[in-house]
Amino acid sequence: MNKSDCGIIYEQYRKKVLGYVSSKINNRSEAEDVFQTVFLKICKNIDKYNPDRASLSTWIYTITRNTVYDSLKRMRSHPEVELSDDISEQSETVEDCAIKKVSLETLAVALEKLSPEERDVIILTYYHGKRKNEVADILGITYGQLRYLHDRAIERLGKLM
Amino acid sequence: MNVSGLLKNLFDYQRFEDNKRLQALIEETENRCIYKLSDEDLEWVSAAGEESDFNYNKDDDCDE
Repeated sequence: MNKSDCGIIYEQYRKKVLGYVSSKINNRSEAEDVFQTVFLKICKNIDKYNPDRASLSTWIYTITRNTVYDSLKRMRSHPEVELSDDISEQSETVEDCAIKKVSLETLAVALEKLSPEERDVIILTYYHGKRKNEVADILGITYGQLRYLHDRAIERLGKLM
Repeated sequence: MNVSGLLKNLFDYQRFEDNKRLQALIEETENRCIYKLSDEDLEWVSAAGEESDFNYNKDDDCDE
């Protein structure tokens, strides 16, 4: 791939990049800057993209995620900018992400095999990032019941995935 | 990587890739919990599909 593909890549991936950036950064101005930075990086480095290492989607996701992470780290020193996500995790390598495109479908299939309650626990905890006591409150169950459902769901998913 | 770590990474990737089958399950949970989730939690249900007036000029970014 080369720089002449930038326009096509922008059209194909702008919604995905936008969706991801918007889900992580509530400040519109900062989100817009990050959005533009992502595509600048893509265009600048497209010559270096190696399809043997990862799919194009994985490569773009990695750039997006790392750019968001860098932005959130910078914004930590500016409390007036609202953060929407925990940034304790480190940036991932492309290799770390390589399995994910296949695994999203695998995850969906595995989640379908859980009970609705177990699925709610997993989605509220790992997609919405809710703490266990918050999940228990949302579901109207005790903390002990929540822990049981969570641990059972994790065990089942470990076997299914 | 343990299952919890894998789930966290996969769901993060879902915010980018928007796998339809997985998104349907997420929305099913959100519909069940709609009265307890905040507006902010639900704000991104269709974020990936919404248009934006973010400005990006494809023509002024490829110079070395």
